[in-house]
Amino acid sequence: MACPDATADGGTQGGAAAPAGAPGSPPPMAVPPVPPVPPDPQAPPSPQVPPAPQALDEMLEAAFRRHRPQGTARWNFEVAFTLLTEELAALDDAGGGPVAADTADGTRAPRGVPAPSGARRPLRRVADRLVLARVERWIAARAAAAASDAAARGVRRDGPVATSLRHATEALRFLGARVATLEEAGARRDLPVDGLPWLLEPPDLSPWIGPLTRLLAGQAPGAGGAPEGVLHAECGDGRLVLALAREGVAARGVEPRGARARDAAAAGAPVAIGEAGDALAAAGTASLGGLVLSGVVDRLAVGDLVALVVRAFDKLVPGARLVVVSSGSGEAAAGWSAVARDLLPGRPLHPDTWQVLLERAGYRQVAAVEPEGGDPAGAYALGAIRP
Amino acid sequence: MAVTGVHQFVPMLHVGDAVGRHTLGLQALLRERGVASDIFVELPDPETEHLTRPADAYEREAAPGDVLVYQFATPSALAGWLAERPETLVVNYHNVTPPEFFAPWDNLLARRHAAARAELARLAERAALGVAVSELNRRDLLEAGFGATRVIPPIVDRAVLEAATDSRPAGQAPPPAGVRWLAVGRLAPNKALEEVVAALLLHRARHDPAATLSVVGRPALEVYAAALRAYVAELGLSGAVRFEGRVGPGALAGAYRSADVLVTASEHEGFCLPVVEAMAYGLPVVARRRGAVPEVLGDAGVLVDEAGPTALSEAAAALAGDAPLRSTLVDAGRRRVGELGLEEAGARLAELLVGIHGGAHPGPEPRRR
Repeated sequence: MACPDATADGGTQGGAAAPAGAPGSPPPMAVPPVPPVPPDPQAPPSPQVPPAPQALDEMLEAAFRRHRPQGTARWNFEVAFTLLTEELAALDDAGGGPVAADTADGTRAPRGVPAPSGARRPLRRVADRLVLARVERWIAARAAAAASDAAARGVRRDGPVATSLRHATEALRFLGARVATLEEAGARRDLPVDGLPWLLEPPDLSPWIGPLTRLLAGQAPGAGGAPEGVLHAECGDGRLVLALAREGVAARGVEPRGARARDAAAAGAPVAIGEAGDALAAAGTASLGGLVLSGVVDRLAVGDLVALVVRAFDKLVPGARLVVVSSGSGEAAAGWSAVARDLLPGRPLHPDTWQVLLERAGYRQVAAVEPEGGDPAGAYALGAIRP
Repeated sequence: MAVTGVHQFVPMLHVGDAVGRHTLGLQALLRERGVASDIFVELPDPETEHLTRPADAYEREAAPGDVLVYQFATPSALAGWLAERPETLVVNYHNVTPPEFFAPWDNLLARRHAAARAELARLAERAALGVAVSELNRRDLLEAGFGATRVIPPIVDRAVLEAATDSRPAGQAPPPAGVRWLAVGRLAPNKALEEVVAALLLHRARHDPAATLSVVGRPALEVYAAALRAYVAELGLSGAVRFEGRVGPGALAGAYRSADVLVTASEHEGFCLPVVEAMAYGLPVVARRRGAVPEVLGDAGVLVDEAGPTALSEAAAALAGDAPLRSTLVDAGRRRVGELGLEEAGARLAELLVGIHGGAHPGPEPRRR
């Protein structure tokens, strides 16, 4: 598929905006050309609209749908806590006249024209600060238990505490629905839930399962005490994670392809749907006893790869290993689909390039991990130690 | 009983939107007729605060002969409050966006819009008259239970009407490359601006790599506006799409005059003033056949039935490449503005309200489709 000059700068409106395709902007979506439509002599004199390529329309719609906040924690908690702050403000207004805000269950509060909004603002600000900054996390963790406690204590069903809990519960319900939607999408096919990993098949890890298991299980003593164990990003079907677990190594995986992650979870591997960068960002400083990067290393731009290994350096305990498994710089990339070539910002790097990147990031003892059995088909693995 | 005053109620008076302009225009026409007319709001807008009064101030000066006009376009506590008032009540209905458009974006807003539908039904029990700005809206009023209804289009800026009679040639062929699309309206989910953006992507890829889109309008929902901006970046269109925000009347007229086509993918419109403005300024229109758009546009533009950006994109491309069709549509558009009766709309509404107690009351009338 080709995109005829879709990155051309169309700046005819003053040229204030950056040209499409400028550094830092994502690559444009590839668009197939429409086949020419022969003129119809019987057609009325109106614009001819060829049949819509439904699949393309659906792809574009799906790309936008991912921006909807429905069910995300942020949106639902914002809604829930907006309701909470309104209730607090309403309590404050108790002597100041009727309040007209809708209640959570769709019924109407006492009718009347509300007091001027300014009267509520100071309290709202306080409520925002207190509730959002201090109470939100607590409620997120405890809502279900608190609801149960409240019921046990006989809290009035229509009282403010019960109402607040209903809102928090509702937020959690929406969050659950969002997770279910993502899981459903993942199960259907490898939708581009987050980014572009669906475009690229990660290398087959079979030849390295044994060597990497031994390497990571027998690494420097300090690495064994890492609070978060070994992380494998993009772990695919979770075979390496399971093999490490069998050797007594605490390990977990992240995998951006929903269906793969579900397969791994079904096989018993502790795997989350996610990207390597996000998983590393969430890990504590000096918390990982090892890190394996596969798949992701072939599709990110070099700048992002550097950022990834630099971040990994901080997250690994001293003595822990970083392992990079790449498809190789030759044949594998040549076999990529046209879409993958167009849309993926990165390419598999040569092992020498990786050695340079890792050493410049502070890693030591960069060395190849030899495969055993199976055909690596140009793929390779490199291990390095975080000193 | 003689009418002592015709006072309007609106949740907030925004100077830049269609309801705000309509409300201010109606007030001017009523005052020209010597009728006392104030605008009362639930919440003041700093920009128009000097033109409005808080709604609860009305209670102290209410007179039995007053007519209260509720400019209904958004959910508000005013609806319930007005339903309890003893004065003659007229609902001027501009449409409420169905809640399902907001559900993926803002739960609270969706809930409030659902409540607004209930508010309309409640007002129907009390209102002496429902005035809709389009036939589509009148159907909403009838479904809500209104007995007497009228269709009177909204009051629009004088400059728009004057532009429609402009004898200067318009509808020239767009440039061979770099066609300028324009989208006007609040950034709200029902406007489906993402489809315009996606259509531009297709248009640039297949027909005109230098085509651009200018989006004029304020965000109605910030989270939707943010998603649009992210989508534009994701599609690699940051250099081709400009979000102008809200602009004044002069800049808006300039936007219409400097564009080559107005493209709207809106899924729901109670009237769609931008279509009228585009026709007045001699700008061809490509629009979805949704809501009140076909009623307003008539045959003076290209209506697209198919869903999805491909059909929009191809319609815009076909229009760009067909100079005779553009010219035909521009002429038809200016005629259409005249046919809509916008020139007399304000006077008709003012007369109707002033005469509501004296025989001009419409009473139950034959319901038009």
